[in-house]
Amino acid sequence: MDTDLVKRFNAGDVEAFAELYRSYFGMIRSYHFVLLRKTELAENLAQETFLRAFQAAPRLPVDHFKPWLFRVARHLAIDEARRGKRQITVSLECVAGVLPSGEASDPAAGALRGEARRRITTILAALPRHYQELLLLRDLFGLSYDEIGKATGLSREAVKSALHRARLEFRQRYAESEER
Amino acid sequence: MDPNKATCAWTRDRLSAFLDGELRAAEHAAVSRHLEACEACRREYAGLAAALSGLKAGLTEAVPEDPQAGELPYGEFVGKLARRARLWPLAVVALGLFWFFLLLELQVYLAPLALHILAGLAAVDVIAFSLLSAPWLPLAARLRGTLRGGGGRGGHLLTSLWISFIWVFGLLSLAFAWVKLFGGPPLMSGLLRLPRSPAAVWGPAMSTCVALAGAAWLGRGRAAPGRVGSLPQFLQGLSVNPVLVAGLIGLAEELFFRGAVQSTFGWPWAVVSFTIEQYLLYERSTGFLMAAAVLALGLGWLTQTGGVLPAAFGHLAFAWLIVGRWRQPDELEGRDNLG
Repeated sequence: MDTDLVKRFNAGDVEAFAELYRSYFGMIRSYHFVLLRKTELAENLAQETFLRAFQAAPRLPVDHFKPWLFRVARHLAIDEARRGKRQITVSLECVAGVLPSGEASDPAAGALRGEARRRITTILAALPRHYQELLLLRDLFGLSYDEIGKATGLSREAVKSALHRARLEFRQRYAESEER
Repeated sequence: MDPNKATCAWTRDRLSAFLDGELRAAEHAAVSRHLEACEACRREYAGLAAALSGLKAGLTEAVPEDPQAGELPYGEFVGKLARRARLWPLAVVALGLFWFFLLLELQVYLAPLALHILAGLAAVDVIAFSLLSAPWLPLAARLRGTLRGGGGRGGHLLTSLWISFIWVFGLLSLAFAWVKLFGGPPLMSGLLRLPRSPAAVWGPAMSTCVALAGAAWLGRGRAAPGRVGSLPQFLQGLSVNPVLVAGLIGLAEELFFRGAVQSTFGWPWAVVSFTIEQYLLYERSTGFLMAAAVLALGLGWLTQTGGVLPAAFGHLAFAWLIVGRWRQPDELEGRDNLG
């Protein structure tokens, strides 16, 4: 699907790029938002990511577009953090403010969800930065181990063991929070 | 480690990848077998799976998926793209082409020295554009990278559009310039020694002025796109006025096909070459081929009866009709005509 779209865009079909944009813009924006905590900045950097993608044609990577996009996004966030002398803090705490408004329709369920979510985001926020990013890429954005490796520059084995450690850590802290 | 003798520690190290389906087939089978046999590891597996599903749900809720996310800022994105696209090559080549074909028309009146200077400038323009904007030339990529401190700048779409013009018109222009300066085969020289009535000479020049003024007026406030999909919509999003672009292209085509080809080789050649050019450049469909042929016949007839001026106006009217329709993007899905 992506492969086909990237091929078409490399051949000059702008409609194909629009499709890719629609598929991934939200994801990249969320990624930047989680990395940098600033809504407007996330929006701008996500657009910058797609500008880079647009300009990379006709040499856009056909077989691994998604990890390529995440890698560009990641580098942009790192550059931005350097420029602004801002520490990159992968933290999900800040996202609690931008939740979907659907909760209002079912206050009871919403409150339950809200409680569990708050606990999970607090635990995630307390995890090492590296772990948070891996969990985000794998468990939210659904990248494969190979794709995560390409996006972050890690080997497949390193991704495998780090992700496992991250999940064990999360699980332990989650269990501890339940006991309290 | 032999997967057939999987220990608890070996298995537990792989539970995460097992859940993700990221283990090799042999390892996957070994973990499965061990889990069937070992109660403690099964509990560990169930615990991890439960934590993982909680984690995924938490992440999904914490970072909401906005269904409009891809749509909303697209217009803004295209605006940025346009500012980034560096449109100067477009303006330069349009001016160059216009200049050269005007030069063909005006040669009756200009002194040879002036003609040579103009021809030289047009040639420089065409070569410079070719080198700076052609992504498929390694040399161009290197030059571009050096000049702009990093390759990959400039919209490849604009380039691919204009590259056709460079080849079709630009190289022909260079050939004409060569003939003008050093002589050449009779056929080529014939192109440059067309007998012209004053109306045929000044007609295109005047029509160009009127067309540019009309284009500027018609294209006011048309730069903001709703969304971008096909090439016309893309061009509509550029800060350069699409009406102006279409007008310039149309004008260049008229000066070449009707002004030069038709008056030298006769109308059938002009119709055939124009139709093929339109088909190759804009839309490769049978319907469009037919439409281009009919347009070519009409414009040829206009030229026969009234000179290049009415044909140029006819072509511009057609181009603006198309550009005007770009305002309803949904009607024009996949239609890329600028002609």
